[in-house]
Amino acid sequence: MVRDVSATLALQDVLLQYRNEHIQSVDISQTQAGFTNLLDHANWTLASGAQVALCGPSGCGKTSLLNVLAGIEKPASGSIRWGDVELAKLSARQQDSWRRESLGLVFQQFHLFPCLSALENVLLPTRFVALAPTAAMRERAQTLLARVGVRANADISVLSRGEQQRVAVARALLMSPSVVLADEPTASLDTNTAQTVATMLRDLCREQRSTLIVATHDRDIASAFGAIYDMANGKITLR
Amino acid sequence: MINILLNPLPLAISELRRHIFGVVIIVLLIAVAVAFGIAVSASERALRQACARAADRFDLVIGAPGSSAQLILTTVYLQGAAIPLLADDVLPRLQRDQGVEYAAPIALGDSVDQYPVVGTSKDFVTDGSRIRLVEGRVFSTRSEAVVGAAVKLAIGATFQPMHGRAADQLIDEHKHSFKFNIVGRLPKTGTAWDHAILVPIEAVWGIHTGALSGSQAEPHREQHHAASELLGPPWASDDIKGVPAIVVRAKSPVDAYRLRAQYQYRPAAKSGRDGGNYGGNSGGNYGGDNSGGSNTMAVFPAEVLVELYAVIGDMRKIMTAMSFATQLIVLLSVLLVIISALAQRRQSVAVLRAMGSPATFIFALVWIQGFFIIGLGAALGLVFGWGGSIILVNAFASDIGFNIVPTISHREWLLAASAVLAGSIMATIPSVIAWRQNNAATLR
Repeated sequence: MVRDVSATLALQDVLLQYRNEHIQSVDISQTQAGFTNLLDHANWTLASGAQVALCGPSGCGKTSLLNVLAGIEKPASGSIRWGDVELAKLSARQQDSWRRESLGLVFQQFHLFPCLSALENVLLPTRFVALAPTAAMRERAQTLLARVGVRANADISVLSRGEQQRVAVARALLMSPSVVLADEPTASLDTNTAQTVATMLRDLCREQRSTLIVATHDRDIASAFGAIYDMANGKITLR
Repeated sequence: MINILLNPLPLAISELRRHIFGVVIIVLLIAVAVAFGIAVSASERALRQACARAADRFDLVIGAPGSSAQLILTTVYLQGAAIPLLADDVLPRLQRDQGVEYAAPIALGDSVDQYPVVGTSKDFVTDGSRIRLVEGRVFSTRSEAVVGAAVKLAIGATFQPMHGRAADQLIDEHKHSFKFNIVGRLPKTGTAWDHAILVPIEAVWGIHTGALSGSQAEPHREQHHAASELLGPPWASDDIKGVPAIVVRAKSPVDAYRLRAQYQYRPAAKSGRDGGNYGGNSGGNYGGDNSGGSNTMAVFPAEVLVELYAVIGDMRKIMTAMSFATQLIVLLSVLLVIISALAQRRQSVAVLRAMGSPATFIFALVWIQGFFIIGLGAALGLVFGWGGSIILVNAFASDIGFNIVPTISHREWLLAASAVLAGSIMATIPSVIAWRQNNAATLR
């Protein structure tokens, strides 16, 4: 299943401010008393299907940037456009729908639901709009789990951390999203497992031509990407 | 709308199942709180109905002046207690009254095991031919007896009554030598009378005046003598050896009210048989002075029941208020537990929202769980409450010989429904908290 929707990213003149008490890093732009600019009128463009690593020190705002790109957080100014979709112009319901259908998220702490099996976790996004997943969705979920090497009926609580993250990757890719955002997906894993999961994520995204942005501070993981962007002083720059 | 509630259902159930121990504890807590209210309500109604049912066949009860409540407790509910005797002319006068269908004397004081032995007339046994015996026939001689449905003595069995009642600890250690033969059994009424043994009033008079109290060595001769005498009614004043109460079946309500007015206690007319009683203790007096006036007290059992209901009603109000307070405290505690549990689920909620779940999905997810816990607790409370009312009522009813089966009426359904309604409203609080939480901050 390959999505044709364009996932070109155009981030223009984005200002993202936080109160200082919420900021731990000092390597950031400060333009206003009491406020810190995580993104200081930043611009960033990515081609559809691009796979990039986003690097920067802890607390520089990588997670916040991913939240902005996912439409979870609103910047003070500027626009974020994914293809033809400008996130700020979407209603709350449309944003939910866009995230559900066009966005895949992978978290550092996996955020799986231990009360559900591996298969049920992967199928969770389908539950938001229907009582039961379609047969096609169930089949795709099983295929994805087979690809990441986890049994469909596996109990989440007995899986290793690497296996749990692989289930999370399968969940992020279930709806064949045009955009996949991964926030430190390998930070909780050992080196070997981290490489395996990162490779798996890149391969699966490449197959379905999803744009992939991985926030990481792991140089080895970042080096495998064709493009590495650094986030510092409120700007995003290509290394 | 249905989809909003149905879509989160599998996840909601899975999460509850994962925390089954805590859920069960909370559900039981709610169930007990609801059951308390249900049990009080159902028990009070069941007792009230049973009291009313027991008094059905007693149009009017006439006794010597004293406590009307005690007169009713003694005659209707067979709660043995010493009550003064009526003057001997009262019963004959009532027999002659054109408005009286029958006037039956009621004399208590003896017992067999835990069963009270009541001296009365055939009319009372059959309620003027309204009651058909389920077994045997009505007594026709002084040595015959009819038993209530719950008396564990067979037709054909004989017994010798004890003076006093074992249940009331009023037995004064002596057994009458006169033997009764059981000849009939009454149908079940669910009242104290199911545990009673009914014997001819003439036998009670005979036993207590000594006319039938021969030596144990010659019971057969005495019995033969006793059996040869006819049973009343009618009774002449000279035949009457003391009557504590008379149950009157009036021919019409007008007659009942007239008789009540006629035999109502008037302080000016001093009479009665002070000091005489049938209590079964050593102060009992069946054969004493018959002199005295016609001073009487006429009581409609319903009048006493109304007073009793007022007392029960007040207790019910207090208990209901307490049960409401308990339910409220429990529901508030549950609410706090759900809210604090929600704090631990902030990440999960934020992740669901980030993955594109509608806000309504989150609201419904949390609400379903709250509603399920409270709803299940209320439903179980209904069952527990019904079971509790059976235990409560039977504990009380066994003392007074009632056979009561409490039922769940609209009042109890309403109580449970109000708990569910309150719960469903309260469940919106954590739902709104989850719905409105700052997901960006949680995910950072």
